[in-house]
Amino acid sequence: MKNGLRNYLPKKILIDKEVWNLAYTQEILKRLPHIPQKVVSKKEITGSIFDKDILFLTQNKGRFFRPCPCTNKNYYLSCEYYILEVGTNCAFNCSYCILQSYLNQPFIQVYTNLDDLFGELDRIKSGFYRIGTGELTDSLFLDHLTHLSKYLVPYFAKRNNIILELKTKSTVIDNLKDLEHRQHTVVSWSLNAPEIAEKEEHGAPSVEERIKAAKRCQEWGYLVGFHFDPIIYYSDWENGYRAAIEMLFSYIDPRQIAWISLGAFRFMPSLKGTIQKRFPQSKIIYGEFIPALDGKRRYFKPIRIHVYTKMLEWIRKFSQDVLIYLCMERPEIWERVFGFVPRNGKLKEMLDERVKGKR
Amino acid sequence: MTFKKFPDIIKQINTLPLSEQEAISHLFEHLHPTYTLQKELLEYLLDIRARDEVKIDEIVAEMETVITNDSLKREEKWQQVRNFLKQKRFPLLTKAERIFKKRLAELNLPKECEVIAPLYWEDNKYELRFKFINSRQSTEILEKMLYLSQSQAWQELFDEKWFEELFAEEDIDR
Repeated sequence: MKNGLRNYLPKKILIDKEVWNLAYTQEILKRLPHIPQKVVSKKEITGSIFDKDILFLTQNKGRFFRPCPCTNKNYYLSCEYYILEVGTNCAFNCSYCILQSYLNQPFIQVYTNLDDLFGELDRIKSGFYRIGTGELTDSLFLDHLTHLSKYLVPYFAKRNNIILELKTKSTVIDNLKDLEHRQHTVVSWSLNAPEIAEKEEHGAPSVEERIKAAKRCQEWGYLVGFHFDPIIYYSDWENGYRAAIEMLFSYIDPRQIAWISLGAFRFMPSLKGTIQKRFPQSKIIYGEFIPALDGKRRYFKPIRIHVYTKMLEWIRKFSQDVLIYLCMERPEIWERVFGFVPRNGKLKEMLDERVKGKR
Repeated sequence: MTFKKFPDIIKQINTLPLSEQEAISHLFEHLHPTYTLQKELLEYLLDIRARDEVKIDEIVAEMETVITNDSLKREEKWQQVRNFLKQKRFPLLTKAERIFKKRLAELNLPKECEVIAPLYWEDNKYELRFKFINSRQSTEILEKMLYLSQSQAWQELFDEKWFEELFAEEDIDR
């Protein structure tokens, strides 16, 4: 879909009475005067995560800032990422989306208690953290309504020990144009083979639209990142992913890429039934998945090694230096694909150095 | 003839067109599978059906000679049907198991030794077990194993270099 959901608008807005008076809540509502609005008590709302036409402005009563829940670190290498939970759910309908089996909160939720969010960030005095807002939602798909980037990006620009990653499939980037960022924000896109994007990432912009958006961000001085995740092993996968990589490097200057990650499709077993029910045409769950050590279903290991090795080879044709890493993978897969294993915090170090070095 | 019916499995079968329900009944009537086996076979059938866009009647028809072969014991039929469906559903995994078994046999391990590969090779811990009756025999076995472990065949097998062999043929159904 060209431009995807650039113009996404909710059909209804619910406002948690606890956040009604907050300035940021009012700021968002002022941009949507024509949309029906209702103040509610959180206790009285019912709905599902698939009610995506409803935007719910509420508060995060828990922690905004916390370690990425990723996976069992005893078996799979973690990049020691942190998440900033600014909301939940997303307007796209990707068949493989893990949030379908992970989230238990209805609607698209945006947390408007920003004072609490920045209070938590203020308390990060030591250490160095890569922090992303795109784990439980898409970082930018609502930015034309929330303008959250206008708060986050300048804040991170002033901080020297935290890096923000805005992870998205959207092309909603206009707000980023004139922000002071000092390369403390990485804008990154999930990419896939164009055929997979078209068939499985319903409502999301095409791969080319995403890459074009990344190019604009690069022109504005941002570091950009790319995540080939989830990689789907299908009959024409080689042509599909090679085409995506070629497209990427036809637009993007590799010297200003922060990182590229590779992650083969993996899922909790309960997601299979959800995909069968919601996306009966999708065949992605019929690959050769085995029960992995973290309870997820993963492609049989030789498939993962084969796919990563090929993709690394294709990327290296365009850039010898761009930092490529595997998301949540076995140490022996690292060894086979890269010839080394970044154990004991080395992966975090590699990624941290990449962005520190750009300062 | 009949087979043991379980509500959750029947519920799934009943969502299918009649001809496919009948094909599954035909299969189960000849196999008398346990609950666990019914679940396993049904999952294979439904996955293959969805992936390859074929009817279950067609898949079951391919197994007809096994299903109706009265000279086979029930357990033999179970095994052959399972193997057939597993191979169809997981062609690469099945091929890997075949390659590993062949290469392991070619190592000519002492008959007292047994190698257990990690489940689906997801972990990387192999297990070597052996039995011995006295210290002399244990030394003999260990010496032979030490010798074997320095061979190229051993290293290729346990360093998992043979994984690439899986992708050598173009006819693998993904």
